[in-house]
Order: sequence, then C-alpha cells, then structure tokens
Amino acid sequence: MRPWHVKRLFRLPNRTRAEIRRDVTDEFAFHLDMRAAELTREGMSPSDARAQALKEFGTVDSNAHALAHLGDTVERRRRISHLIAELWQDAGLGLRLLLRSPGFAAVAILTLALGIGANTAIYSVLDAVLLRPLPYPEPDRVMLVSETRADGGTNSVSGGAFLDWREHQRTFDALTMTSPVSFNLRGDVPERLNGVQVSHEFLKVLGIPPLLGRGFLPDEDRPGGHTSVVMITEELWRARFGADAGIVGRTMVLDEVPRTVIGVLPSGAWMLKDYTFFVPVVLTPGSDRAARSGHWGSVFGRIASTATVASADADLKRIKQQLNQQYPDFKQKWSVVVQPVTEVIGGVARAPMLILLGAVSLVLLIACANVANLLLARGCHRQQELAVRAALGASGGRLVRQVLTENLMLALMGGLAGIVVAFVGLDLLRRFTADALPVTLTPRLDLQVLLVSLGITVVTGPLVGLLPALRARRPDLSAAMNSGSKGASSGGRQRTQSLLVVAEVALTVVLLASAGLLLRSLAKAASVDPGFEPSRVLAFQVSLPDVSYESREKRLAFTGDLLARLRALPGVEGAGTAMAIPFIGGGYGEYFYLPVRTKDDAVIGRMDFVSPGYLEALGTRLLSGRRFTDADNRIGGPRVAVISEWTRRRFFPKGDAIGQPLIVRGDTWQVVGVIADVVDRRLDVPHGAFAYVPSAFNLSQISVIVRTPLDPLSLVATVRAEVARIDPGVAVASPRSLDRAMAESMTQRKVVLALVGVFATAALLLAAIGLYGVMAYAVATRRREFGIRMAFGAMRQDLIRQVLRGGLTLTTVGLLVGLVGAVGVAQLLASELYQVKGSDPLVIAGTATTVLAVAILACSVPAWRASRFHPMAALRVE
Amino acid sequence: MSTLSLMQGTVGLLILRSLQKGPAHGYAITRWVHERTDGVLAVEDAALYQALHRLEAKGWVEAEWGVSENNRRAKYYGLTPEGRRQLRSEISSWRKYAEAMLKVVGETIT
Repeated sequence: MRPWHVKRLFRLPNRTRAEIRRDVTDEFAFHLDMRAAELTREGMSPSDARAQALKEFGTVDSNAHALAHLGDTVERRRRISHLIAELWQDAGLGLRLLLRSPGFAAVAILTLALGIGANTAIYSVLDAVLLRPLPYPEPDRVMLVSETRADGGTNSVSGGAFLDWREHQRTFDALTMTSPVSFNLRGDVPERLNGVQVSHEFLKVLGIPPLLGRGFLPDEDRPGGHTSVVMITEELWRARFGADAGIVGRTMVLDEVPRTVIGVLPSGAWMLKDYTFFVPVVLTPGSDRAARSGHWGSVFGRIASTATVASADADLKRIKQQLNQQYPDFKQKWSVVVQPVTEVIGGVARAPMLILLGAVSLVLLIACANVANLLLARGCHRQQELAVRAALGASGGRLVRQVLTENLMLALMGGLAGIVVAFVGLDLLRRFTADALPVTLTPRLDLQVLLVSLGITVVTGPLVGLLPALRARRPDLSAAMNSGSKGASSGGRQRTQSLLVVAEVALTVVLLASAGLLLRSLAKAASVDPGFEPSRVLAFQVSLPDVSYESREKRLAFTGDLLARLRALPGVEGAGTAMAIPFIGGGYGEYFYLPVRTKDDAVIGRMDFVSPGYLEALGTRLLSGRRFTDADNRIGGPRVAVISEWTRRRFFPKGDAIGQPLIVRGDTWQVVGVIADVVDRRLDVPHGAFAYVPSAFNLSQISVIVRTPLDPLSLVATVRAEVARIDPGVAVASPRSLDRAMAESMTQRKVVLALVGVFATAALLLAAIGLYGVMAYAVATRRREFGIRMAFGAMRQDLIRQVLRGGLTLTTVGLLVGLVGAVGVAQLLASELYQVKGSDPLVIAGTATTVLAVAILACSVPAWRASRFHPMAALRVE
Repeated sequence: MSTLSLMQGTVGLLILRSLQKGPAHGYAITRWVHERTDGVLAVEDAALYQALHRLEAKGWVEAEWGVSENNRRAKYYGLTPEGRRQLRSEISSWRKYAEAMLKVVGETIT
C-alpha cells in the first residue's frame, strides 16, 4: 500500500458521471471476487463460494445505483471545495506578491480607486436623479397630466379640464390640481413665501401622511366651504415657528387672509424646491378659474393599482372625445396626455447624466488599461515563477485562474479605496450641483450604490487582468527558464502594451474633444447677445394681497407710486415693472396671429405686461417706432404693443410693422415699436415671438427692475424701505442681480463641462503615465542595443529622436482613432452642444495639440535616458 | 425507524474505527466489521458500502484508487482529519452513553 499522505499532493483528476458509475461497479466486483476467493480457500466449491458472496452482499444493482448517486454529490462538493481552496491559496499568494512590491501596488490601487470611485459617485447621482427621484410610495403610479395643443406640445391645464377629468375618470385613485402662488406672510418683517395651491386630493396623490395634523378635506376646496386653511412644510415650521408642536390649529396671515394651520408636511414632500406652504385651490363654477380656456395649473394623479399609464391616458382621452361631441367648435385639436412624473423629471436631467456616466466610464476604462499595462510590465518578472509552476504540472487554466484571482484582489482593494474616493467626490458633487438641478436631490451611498460599486470592481478585475492572464497561460518554458532573465517574449508583450496605449490615447482624445465641444458650446452660449444690458440691474418681485388690492386701479397706483419713489432714489438710473424678467421667467404663453389669417397659422409666443420705463431700464435696443409712455399705461388705455424683431420678421417680413395690427391673446394690438430680441430664460434657446403691452392690462404678477451704477444688491435695503413706506404688508421677494441670474441660467452647462473636464484631465494624466511606462520599458529592454549603437558612434540626438518617434507614432495612431470616435460621440452630446459641430476644427486642433504636447513630455524622460546610456555599462549588463 | 438510524450511526462508527489504524479497501473494512462484531450485527455488505460512501460524502473519509495485496485495482479509504475528530467524539459519547446505561441497567440485573 502506498504512503497515504502523498495522495494530497497529487490529487485524482475530477471524475465524470460514467467514471463514478464504473468505480462503483469495480468496487463491488472487487469485493465479490475477494470474498469468493476467501470462501474457496476455506473449502467451498467456486460456484458455491460465488453464490454465498452474493448472498452476503445483498442486491447489487439497486445499491450500485444509490452509491453512484451519492458519488455524484461527493464529486460536486469536492470540486467546489477544491476550487475554494485554490482561490484562497491564490488570494493569499496575490496578497503576498502585492505586499512585496508596494510601489506597484500603490499606483495600481490608486489608479483603480480613482476610476471606481468616480464611477460610484456619478452612479449615486444618477440613482438619485433617474432612478428614485420621488420620495413617495409607489412613485411609478404618480402621473403628470397635461393638456396638449394642436401642435402636440404639452400645455398647462385649465380648471375646466381638471373638473371634467375629476368627475369622469375611472383609472385614478386621485387627481389633484396644483398651481404655484406667492403670498406675504404677516410678521414683524413681512416675508414673501412661495407656496402651492392644491385641490384637496393632494396628499392622496403623493401617498404620504403629514408629519403633524391632517391633509385637506373635500369641504376645504369647495366654493363657499371652509377654505381658510393652510398646510406648511417642515422647513417653514422649523425656521419660522421654531418647530412648535402646537402649531396645528394656530393662525397665520397670508396676504392679509388669516388661515388655520391644519398640517405640517415632511421635508421634501413637494418635489420642487423652495415651496413652503400649501393652500386649497378653489374652482368656483362660472369663474375664470373653472373655465376650460385659461390654462394655469399642473395636474398630478395617482393611478389605480389596476391601471397602467396607457389605460389612464386612454381614459382621459375618452373624456376629451365626449367633450368634443358636446362642443364641436372648442379646442377640437387639443387633447390630453398622461406621463409618469419620474419620466418627466428624469427626462430633464437624463441627457447630461448619461453624458457624465459615459465620460466617467471612459476614465475607468483608461484606468484599467493603465493597470493592465503595469501588470504586463510586471508579468515579465513573474515569467519564471509561472514557468516553474507550469513545469510542475499546473494547467494553463489553473495559471489563468491564479493570475485572475490576484488581479481581483487588486481590484477589490482598489474598490475599497474607491469607496473613499466616492465619498469625498459625492460631497463635492453635492455642493457643486446643489443649485444646478430643479428638484431636491439626495444622492447617497446606499447599499444599492455600493453593490453597483462592487459590481464595477468585480468586472474591473478581469478587465485589467485578462491580457496578462492569457499571457500567463502559455509561458514559454524553455526560454524563460534558460535565459533566467527578462526579455524572453518581450516582442509579443510590447505589442500588447502598445495596443493598450493606443486605446488609452484614443479614449482620452474622445474625452478631451467632448470637453472641448462643451467648452465651445458654453462660450458660444455665453456670447449670445441677450438683447439688453444685464449688468447693474436689480430685479425683485412684489406680490400684492388680493384682499387689499382687489382692483387693477389700486395695483396700478401702487406700481406708479413705487416706480416714482425708486426713480427718485440716489443711484437709480431707471426702474420699471413687468410680469416676466429675462432669465427669471414669468409672463404668458399666448397665440400670435394676424387678423387676416386663420388661427391655425398662429405661433405661440410670450406676452409680457410692462410699465413705461421698463424697456429703457432694461437697456433694450429700439429698432423702430417708440417705447411706452405714461399715456399708454392707464386703465382703459390704448391697446398698443412693442414687438420683438423676431416677431416683426415672422408677421411683417416685407416692411415696417409700425401701426399694424397683431392679435395676441385674442385681442388686437397696434404695434408701436420694434426692439431687438431679448432672451427669455436661457441664452442658448432660439428666440421666439415676444410682445410687450402696457402693464395696466394685467398686474396679477409684478416684478420690478432697477438700473443703477452701483452694486445692484446694495440697493436692496433701500428698496425694502421704500416698499414698506407705501405698504408695510408687502414684502420684497427674491432680490437678485440680472447678470447673476444670467450666469446661473448656464449652471447646468458649467457643471457638465466642469465634470467632463475633470474626467478628461484625469484621462490625459493616466494616458501620459501609460505612455511613459511603455516607452520607459522599451528603452530599458533595449539598453544593450542603444549601448552598441553609441559605441558605434550614433549621435545622442538620433537616439532621442528614435524614442520620441516611437512614442509619437503610438500617440498619433491613438489620436486619429480617437478623433474619429469623438466625431461619433458628438452625436450623443448633441443635447448639450450649442452651435458647435462634432468636427469643429478648433476643438480638433486643440485636442491634437494638447495630446501631442503631453505625449512629447511623457516620452522625453525615457528618450533622454536612452541617450545617457554609457556604452560599456550597457554592454556589461547582459 | 429509530433502530435503523441507530444502526446506521453504529455502523458508521465501526467503519471509522476500522480505519483508525490506517487506510483500507472496502472489502477489508467489511471483513473487519464482521469479524469484530462476531456477526452480532447482521448487516449486508451492501449496507456497509452505503454507510462508507455516506461517510465519504460527509467528508469524514476520503477515497482513492490503489493496488491491493493481490495486485488488483481497489478503492482505498482513509480517515480525513475531520473523520478522526468525529471518531474521537463518537467514541467518547458512546462511552458516556454505555456507562450511563450500565449504571441503570447493570445494577438491577446483578
């Protein structure tokens, strides 16, 4: 019998099912033969002995079957435990190897940490924006319901349409009408608060309970019901009421109306930022608010658990169909659309988020290529070790597994460090993007994000390790063991390294070119003529309580008084009021058309109601005609309008518009002036139709601008004092300077650009390190050749030139591949580009120059070193 | 049913015990069990093999093909370290069990 412990070293190979069955049969046969032989020796006849042995044994077949089955289980278990033992062994070996070369380990782990960390951080933002934007239960049941115009665009909802839906729908648990509103909160210093008017179903739609108190009752939005109630947000409750537990039942005065606080909503309950209270919206039958023509609300609904988006959509379209039969002449071409809110919110941010995700993935790929390169270079030192293992009988697969496990160890450590990077990065991102997005965002590193990070890490391991591992599979035994030094199969390895560098350069070029395109877009957008003078203008809003300013006369008197006082202030060059302010928004979207045309030819444009002096104070440029005078701005005054140049070209392309009639909002206005186009909310949105009419026609929302040679915000205190002198109950809200608002209108562009720029820089750095590594390695392995050439009288410059040429060849190939890729990627960037094509020559030239310059820098050190080899020293090395 | 499981446990212990002095093939193990128990345990050889393979599945014994004393291919079984531990603990618990039983049963009989 052979020594038992040897077995452990040379294990039986794995057994197949057939082998297991044969083993059982063999074992039984051996037993029966042995027993029969023994019985024969004891004196039985051979046939009797055989029969006796069989009898003692029992039934052979069924037992053999049972044992074979058992054998399968054993085999499976053995394989698994064997694999685990091997993995454990490899992991330990990998760890020891890493610890032995801490420099290599540190560089590799840091590189991976950057890649993985950046990906984790971006993913967590993506998660917050796209995957769970709503803090409500079953958020995918919350819908935005919009009316759609004849041109297919979505539109605000009329009170009448909402009432129709609410009454006839069959697919929603609840529908709620909402509309933003601003009220002055009475206090020692009046404060203007933004809130939302909502119908009583509001909390039912959101699906959340209030923090304190209750939600609205049906009676509280019923005309004539007990409507003087209010819900506030947790933020307002804490900031203004010191988190008073007895707040429910107390009274707060909003726009001179005392309202009973009935509930407090938890923080973040409303998806938009900066809204702090909720009051009932009252749709009195017969009033404008209940009409089917004025569009002013946003309707949200929670569909029934049995309904789908499609069935809800069909349900509301059916109601519209019935109305069409009832009123064949009214809004025939309008319809209604139901969209999941998550999609609507995600849609806003989807394009930039996906761009960032793409950019950060490229960085990870480059990081992986770099680490793969490092591993390849290190692989040459391990050639001998692997060769020895192969010679001792380790299979190719076994060696690949060993190398892969080692790389997984590396990736796991990189991933751990990456979580730290993600933590820091996310903190920066959170601060950086706080104002860039319209919705409240809570990016966080939760379990899901960490799992994704782990996933990235696990994928990264093979990504960096596959090439080196495949190389390890067939170590060149004799060469590696005989020469006992480097350079055995360096040709093939160098080719792989070169390919990796080309790939890195190409990916870097894609990122750099994308950053370049975004930068050009930002520059182009920033250089758009806003059509007015945005610097040194203060803008703020005032809202006049309906109770004390119930008539237009009173409102007009207030604005007239306010403007007169403001203009009299020292340091004020001009002042005016409007409904809409550039970059801040407001105003009405209305149909524009000529009297002779049919309504179908109409365009939708913006209408603003402005005081005399507003267009002057804003610094608009008059192209023809005149601006408004005090004579225009009175109740019952003439219907006169100043239009934008775009509007003139659209409606009066042949000549002068002055004196011509134009229909806006169903009324005929006489054009008295034309001004250069003024931007609406963003510089990078094309101009549309715009008409300014005297503010006396509509004073429901009032924004004020003040032009000054001083710092605009330094005027705020003075302005507050003047407003208080007219009416201490009216607050000055959201004062800001227009140039600041203009800059903020480009925040999203800037954030995307900054992040892509950071990623591109990181990529450039990584690629430069990769290139340096390959060139340095190439120079080191050719030391002898360089030495000989020096000995034969080669000039240093020749050697330097040769090395540089080698590096630049790689770079140029990568550059060309990358530029082709970049033009393709520009398609994906389209939504973020502004008047820049993917093939923008300036961007291409800039990218090429940057990459080549960095490549020369990266190659110069190895090149210089090549020229410093002493011929004798180089020859002695081998 | 309880006698069968008791039997199985007993047979398992006997097999482990038979391997204590070193690895052996299945035939040697079955002979050892039959001889040591003087036929008191009337088990079929097949049942012994089942028990043996079950011990292998539990990881208490390991098997390997080798060459027998008469130059035939035979499957050899040996104790794993775990099997050795198991054997020790089973013997000690049997001993405790037997002592306890004797204390109760032995006194009444004598």
